[in-house]
Amino acid sequence: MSVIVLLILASLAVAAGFLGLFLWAVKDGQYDDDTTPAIRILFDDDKRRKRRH
Amino acid sequence: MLEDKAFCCSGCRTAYQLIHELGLEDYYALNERPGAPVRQAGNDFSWMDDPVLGNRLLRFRSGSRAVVQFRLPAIHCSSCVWLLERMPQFVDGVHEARVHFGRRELELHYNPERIALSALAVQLQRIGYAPDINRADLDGDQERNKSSDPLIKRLGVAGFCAGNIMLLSFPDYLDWDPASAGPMWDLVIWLKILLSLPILFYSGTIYWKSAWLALRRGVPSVDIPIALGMIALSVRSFYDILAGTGPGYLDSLAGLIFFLLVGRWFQDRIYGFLSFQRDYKSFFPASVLKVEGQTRRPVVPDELLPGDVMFIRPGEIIPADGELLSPARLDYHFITGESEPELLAAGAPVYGGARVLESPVEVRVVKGLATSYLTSLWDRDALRGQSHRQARMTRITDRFSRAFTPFVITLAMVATAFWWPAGPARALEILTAVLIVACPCGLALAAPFALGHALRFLDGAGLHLRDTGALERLALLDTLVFDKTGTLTAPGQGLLRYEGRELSPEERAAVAAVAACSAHPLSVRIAGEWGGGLPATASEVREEAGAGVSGIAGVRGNASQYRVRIGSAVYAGYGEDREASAARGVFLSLNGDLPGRLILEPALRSGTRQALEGIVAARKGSESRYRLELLSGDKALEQERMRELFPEGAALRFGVSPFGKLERVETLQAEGHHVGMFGDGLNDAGALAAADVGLAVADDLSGYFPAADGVLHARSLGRLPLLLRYARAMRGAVWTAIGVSMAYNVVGLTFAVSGLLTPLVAAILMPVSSLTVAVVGLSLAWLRARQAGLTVAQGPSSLSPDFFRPDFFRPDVSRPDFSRPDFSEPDFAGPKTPGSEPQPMTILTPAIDQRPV
Repeated sequence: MSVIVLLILASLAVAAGFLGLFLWAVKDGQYDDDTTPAIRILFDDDKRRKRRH
Repeated sequence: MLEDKAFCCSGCRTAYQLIHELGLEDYYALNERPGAPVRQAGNDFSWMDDPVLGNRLLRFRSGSRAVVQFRLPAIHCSSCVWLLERMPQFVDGVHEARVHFGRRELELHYNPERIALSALAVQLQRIGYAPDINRADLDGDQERNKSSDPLIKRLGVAGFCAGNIMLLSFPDYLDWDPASAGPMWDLVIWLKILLSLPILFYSGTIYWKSAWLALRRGVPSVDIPIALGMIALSVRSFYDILAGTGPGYLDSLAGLIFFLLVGRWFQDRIYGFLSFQRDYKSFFPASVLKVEGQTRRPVVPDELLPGDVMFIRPGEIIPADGELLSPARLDYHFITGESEPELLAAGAPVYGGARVLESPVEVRVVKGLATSYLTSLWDRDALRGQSHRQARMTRITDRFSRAFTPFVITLAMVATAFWWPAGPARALEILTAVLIVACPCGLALAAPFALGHALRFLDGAGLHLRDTGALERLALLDTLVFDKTGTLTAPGQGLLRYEGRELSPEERAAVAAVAACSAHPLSVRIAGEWGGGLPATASEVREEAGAGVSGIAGVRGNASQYRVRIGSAVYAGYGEDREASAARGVFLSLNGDLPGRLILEPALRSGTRQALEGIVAARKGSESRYRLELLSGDKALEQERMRELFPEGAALRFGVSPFGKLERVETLQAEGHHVGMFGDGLNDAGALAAADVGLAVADDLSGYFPAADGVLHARSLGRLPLLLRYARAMRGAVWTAIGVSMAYNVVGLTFAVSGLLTPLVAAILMPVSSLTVAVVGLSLAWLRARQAGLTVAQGPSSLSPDFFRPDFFRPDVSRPDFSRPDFSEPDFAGPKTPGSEPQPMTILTPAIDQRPV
């Protein structure tokens, strides 16, 4: 029954990891623009490979 | 390949060729009408190559990497995004392009050693997306400098902590007994305490700060009881936990802050497409040419000193007060509201904000930008406006808490005193319990949810308000003040009225034939309305800029020819005296005979009559609800028409200066009225900022509205009475939601005062009350919208198909576009002959009497 201590700590750690990823995404600007990704997702892939500079 | 495709103008054809060459034809496949008519070439971006000026535009620069953000008003559909994000494929030196659709911006990562900034702008213009740059853009990230973390971060942290604390609190609800729990008890309480720290000291700091500010100012904001509640919750919980007397209320604390932040996030307006934040600098060009000897150098307008000479091209705005060095025709609509341009002689004073028409002019600076008329107009108004609004406390939530806070404190003290005989510990328990349950979580959510949702309905209806405060004030208005030109009348759509002796069909046809050879907007109108009758041809057509057009025309098959002159009274031969040069309208002369003149009457907007009638019909009891006034910067030439539209006794004032408008609004406010101002352009900015609610009426949402509380789309003008009614109904809805939250408070306070407020009760009460209040608010917003006939907005209104109509790029025939001062005169109606370049526009407006400016 005391294994529950371990379980609580483990789940909190995982949740904290997710929180960290969330904060990172916000800092990186992912949530600044929520309209353009919706438009971008409908584009087809380019037929030719994009030239990289 | 090109031959079988039709283009509206040569600009579009060029864009097509370019896109085709690059193999990007999918641009056209993605949408039916991608792109927008390419306005004339000729925007000069060479000033960007100046190292000092150009660098101010960049967001980042280091060695071979630079980042720039351009605002491209032409972005309006997915094809735009598609094409622009493929810039790396067709522009050498650009390695990343990212569009922000909501803000209509393009962020380019490029190599400044391979391509110049100006070249980027030119490329964008070539494909139809010319960047819009003004003085405000040179100030860097003024908008984006957020010193505090975004709300969403705090919300995320609060959600994390609240969820976990609630899970860990579950055992406490079921059976709290520290003796039997063993080591797990310690783990759980320490975890709870640990998790509550971020909420108290990070997510919740908004409320500490706000409550502290409110206390200092003596304003009974709702944040004060919230902060009190937070203190009571945390102190009581830490004490209980550490002393072992109870499980604490940390779950309620976390839940409280989380719900409050959700409410705040819901009512936030994160607008991309409307620029409310900008200041007057948005109206100024980013650079102006300074004449130095034989050369002209681009400089920032701020750097101009008295004595410098500026070179202003047609279509550009004069940034600083000065004196003309050559005659010029100026359009002052922007700052005075006068609808007719003025012709001024060399040596005449001019004011910053005037737009130059027809031909370039040199102006010697008299006052620098910081002290010019335009700036002083803005500074005074902006400062005054802000303080006025804060002084009048109209927010429902704050009004309620003005009564609520003292009540709670009194109740707490009474309860404490009552329980004192049972022991100070017990009494303090009761004290904290009262403060906890009285914490107005539900109260604080009523307005954000109800009004936040209402704002979305209003968006769908064409009224875009800046925040919920504006909506609350909108409901309280009792006086509505309207500007005339551009607000009640539609620019560019006039009625052409002929005054004079009757003209025969041959004469009309002759006039139309000569007019058809001129590119002037008035000529185009004349040709459009009078042509189409008998076919006629014109020859020997000559156009004199600023005066008129003349030619010889006659009906085909008919021998008689007419010598036609169309233009100013002087040009047409009415005389050279002062009276002639002051006469208004376009005069006709046929073979030396002077039959009459044409007057362009600006047409009323389609919704004006409906709006005014609806407003007049609104009743409060047995009287009119609203008092109406007209404040126009224009001359009193249309008095009768306005008199007919406005009710009896409404004050109509003409020739009012921008300061005059501001003063009138303030006078009305001093009399105790709640004033709503409807205007456009900078000349109304003062009044808009000072009014309780200032709404800019706009045809095109890509302009700047720094002084306004909201933007009313011109096509929604007719719906104004309906929207006002909705605003009033929403104020009632907020009170209803507050009432619901108070019901919960009564229940909770009963528990608290009788000493029965266990953590379980608190934990249930708070989310349930919050949820109920939110649901009530949302439902009422929706219900009232249906009753008012407002349609539900399909998602964000900026993405609705209507918004995409590029009709704001349809050329404005008689009035230049004020929202984009960098653009020159619009190209209209396509080239006269296929393949030729569009004609530059010449203004045919006759000479106006020379008033001292």
